[in-house]
Amino acid sequence: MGGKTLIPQKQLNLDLQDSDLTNVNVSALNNDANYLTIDATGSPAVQQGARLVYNGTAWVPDTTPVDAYDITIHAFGAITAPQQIALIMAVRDFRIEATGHTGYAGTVPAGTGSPAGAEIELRKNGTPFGLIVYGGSPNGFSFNITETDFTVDDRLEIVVLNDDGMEDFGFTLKGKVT
Amino acid sequence: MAQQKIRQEQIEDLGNFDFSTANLAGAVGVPYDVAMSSVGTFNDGSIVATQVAARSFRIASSGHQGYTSWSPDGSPIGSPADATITVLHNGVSIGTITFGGVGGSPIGDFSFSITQTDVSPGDRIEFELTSGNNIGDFSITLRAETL
Repeated sequence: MGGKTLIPQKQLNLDLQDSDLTNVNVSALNNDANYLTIDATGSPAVQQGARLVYNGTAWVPDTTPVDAYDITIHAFGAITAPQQIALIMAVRDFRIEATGHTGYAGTVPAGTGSPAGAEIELRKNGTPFGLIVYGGSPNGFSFNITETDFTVDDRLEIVVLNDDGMEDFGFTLKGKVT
Repeated sequence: MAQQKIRQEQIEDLGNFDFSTANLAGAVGVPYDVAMSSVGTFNDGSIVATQVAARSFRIASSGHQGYTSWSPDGSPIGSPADATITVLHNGVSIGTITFGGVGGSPIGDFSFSITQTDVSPGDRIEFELTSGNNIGDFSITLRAETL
């Protein structure tokens, strides 16, 4: 590699001659001088926002696995079930875990426990893989979810099957990048 | 955390880095995707979703996805009847999303023209239904990574 032009400011523009990348922008991350993020347009094999880390003597690709990819869903007001309340399109590969989820409802269902309690179904491309049952205190959500992997273009659909009077609720699904 | 300056030797060392696809294959970014979904239909000009940034992130120029259950009114793809959604950064357009799904797939006919944009804490990202033509129940995820 040769012919590099480095400008010592927040964004560094490199003129690459020997690289197979067509256009690289290197930007310092906001609060840590030991990390840079790069964008290489026209090079889909390089992940957008890929990071470099300074190990004290040289810059190296940051291959530390990224983990968290939580998904938060909220709905305000009354729902007339059945109603799909959200649809999330996957733009990267991720996994919804089997456990670790949490939820809250401002207005509790009239009944307690299924089938009288509220039920929310999780679907992947139309196929159910989890059921959230609500019937108790504001935090009284029960999550029965099968660990499920998503890839680019997959759809995560949230459908309220039975609201039972529940209003103003939200929940967060624990996910991770895969 | 106090902001740190990149030292001169770090800048010089960057000149020795191998910027090749092979060397960068394992490098990762930290995801901060921006997802929205709407239920029902909206009038043209409606702000369908707003997100306020809690940290700095960068919206990519590509890699986005969309889906809708209701196609725009029955005109061919590319006609004026296509639905257009404008993405606003603090009220200024950073690009448009066009859907012309009549006779097409709910996914495949979304077309994204988004300018790579850096977003700071407190900034707003808004989705405006510029021209809906009865598109309904649509969802969009913009690919983004933290800065």
